[in-house]
Amino acid sequence: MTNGGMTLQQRRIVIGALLCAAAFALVEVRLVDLALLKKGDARTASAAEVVSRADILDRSGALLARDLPVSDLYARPHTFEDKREAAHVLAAATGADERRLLALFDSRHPYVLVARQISAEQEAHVRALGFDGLEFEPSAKRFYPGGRATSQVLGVTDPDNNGLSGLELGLDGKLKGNDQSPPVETSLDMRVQFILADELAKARATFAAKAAGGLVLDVNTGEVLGLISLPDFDPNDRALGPADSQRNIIAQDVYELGSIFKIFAFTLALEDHTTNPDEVFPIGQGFKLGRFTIHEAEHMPATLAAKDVLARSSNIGTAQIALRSGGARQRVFLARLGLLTPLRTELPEQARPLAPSPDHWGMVETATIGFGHGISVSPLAFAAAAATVVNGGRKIVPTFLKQSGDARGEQLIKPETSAAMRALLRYVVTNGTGRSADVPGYDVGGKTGSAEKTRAHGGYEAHKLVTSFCAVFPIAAPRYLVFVMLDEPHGTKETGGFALAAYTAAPAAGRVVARIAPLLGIPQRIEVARENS
Amino acid sequence: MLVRLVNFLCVAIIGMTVLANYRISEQTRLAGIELRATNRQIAEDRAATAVLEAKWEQLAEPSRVQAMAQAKLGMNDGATLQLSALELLPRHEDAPLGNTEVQQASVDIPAPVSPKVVRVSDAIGK
Repeated sequence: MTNGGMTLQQRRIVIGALLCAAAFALVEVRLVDLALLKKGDARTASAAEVVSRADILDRSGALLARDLPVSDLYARPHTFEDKREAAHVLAAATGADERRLLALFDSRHPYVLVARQISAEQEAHVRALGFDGLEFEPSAKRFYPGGRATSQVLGVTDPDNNGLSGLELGLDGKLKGNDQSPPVETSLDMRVQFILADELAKARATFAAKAAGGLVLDVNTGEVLGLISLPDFDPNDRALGPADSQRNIIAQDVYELGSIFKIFAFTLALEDHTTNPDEVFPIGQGFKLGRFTIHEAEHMPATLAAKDVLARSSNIGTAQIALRSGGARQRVFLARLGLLTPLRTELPEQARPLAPSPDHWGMVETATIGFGHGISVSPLAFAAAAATVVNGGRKIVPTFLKQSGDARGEQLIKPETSAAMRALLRYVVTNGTGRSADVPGYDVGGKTGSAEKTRAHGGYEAHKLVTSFCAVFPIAAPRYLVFVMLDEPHGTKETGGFALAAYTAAPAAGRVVARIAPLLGIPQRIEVARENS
Repeated sequence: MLVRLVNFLCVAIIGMTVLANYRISEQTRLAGIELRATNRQIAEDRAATAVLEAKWEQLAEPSRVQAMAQAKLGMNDGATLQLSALELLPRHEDAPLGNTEVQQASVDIPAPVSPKVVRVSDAIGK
């Protein structure tokens, strides 16, 4: 009974051994599968499913936006005995529209959405009602602890957690992910943001302004520490109130900013040595330029030194200085400062500046653009250009992401010109229209701007102003720029009825500087005679 | 006889190995269930912590704290120039610490604004 040298018994043993080995191998495979390959199953998927966007933090790690777990409530209407009663009770528990629910329950749909993004408390309430045929789908809702203070800059998401506006949209690629996604650290400082919001709200209320906006910018890194645009909205409530607005006037709108633009006419003149701070200019009662006559907003002496032209904000003096630079040179200079093209930042909201075409940039345009009329830019673009002027002359691009150090770019202006402009801006605050922005000990430099608003069909509204103030401190070695703007402020009894920037925007900017400078660690420079103990 | 004994031992060893493997497999399955439950608990706790952190940030929001401080404690924001960084505070010693320059602290305090002061105990008692 042999076959190839192996007995029947031996063959049975071999077959049995092979079967056992196969069974053993199956067990081993299953073991490996359970112990190693299916390790990931042990992780709950709920967190990954619920949290779909990363946190947004301020520069100190304070929470600005986070996904909170909520539920979407679905129902199988055919399981309800009394659909009217179910619609009534579920509407009361979730805030859903009762008529919509009843229509859905009476329809042929087997599975309907009752309410989206209900809170854990609402879910517990609904569960306690004891209805059969209800299902809760885990979801997430974006929550903004800072509320209105951060609404315009952070923006909002849609119910599916996609960015809709602000940094939520601009940083959508970084924010979309799962619970493992690292938080996004912004350049914002929640303390600065709050102070800016507080002072702008007070100024807006005091002067009954239509809108107000402002920002705080680090002139060496380009980091935006705070950005406020009023009116704003509650980002935690999808519904906009009648006084709310989702328009970010600092980034999204362009304005003729008026005299604040004289900063650039003087920078160019000093850069090209076409004037010096002590040169005297005739002012007179009007400056004729072709068929136009340029006037002053306030009474001026017959002559003014160039530094006083800036300090007292003379349109006639500035027009003469701008004309010395010439239109072509002025246009190139403003273009290099980024004032003739849309400014691109992490914010999706951006504005296209309005300026004459090269063919229409004549003498009149050169003169008026010198003192801030005939050109419209966004306040954010203006602030970036002004930061470039004062930071030693190197290009600054605003950013809403935290930076690690000096981020100044190309040298656009000579450092000596930048230093001379800082001295002039300080002179404006000590001897000119910016006095009310002075803060003892912080050496604030700055410039006022009061521009009449343009009419829709050309011309200007004489009594509708946009007033602004650009403050820089400490002026010797600038760290921060504060820009404040009020849209259609009205004079008060305290201001003698004046609504110019010197009475409205400048004091507000000064108060912002006074409150944020200590928090930002700027040393105060006051020599005080101490009592000898 | 020897062959039968060897066969029996082989089958016995295989049987015991199968049982041992089954036991390990079962323990792994149970550990997996326990791990899933623990991970779920961790995820729920993390989610709850995240909610609490967000709520805390909302409660500590500066405008809310300012409104409460003004309403309940009669505090005012008029004297923020008193704030200064620690390293800027004046020192009594002649020699500066760490070779840093001694700088003037914040000393120019605005005129008092006469806030409406209420006793804390009264405010809390209301």
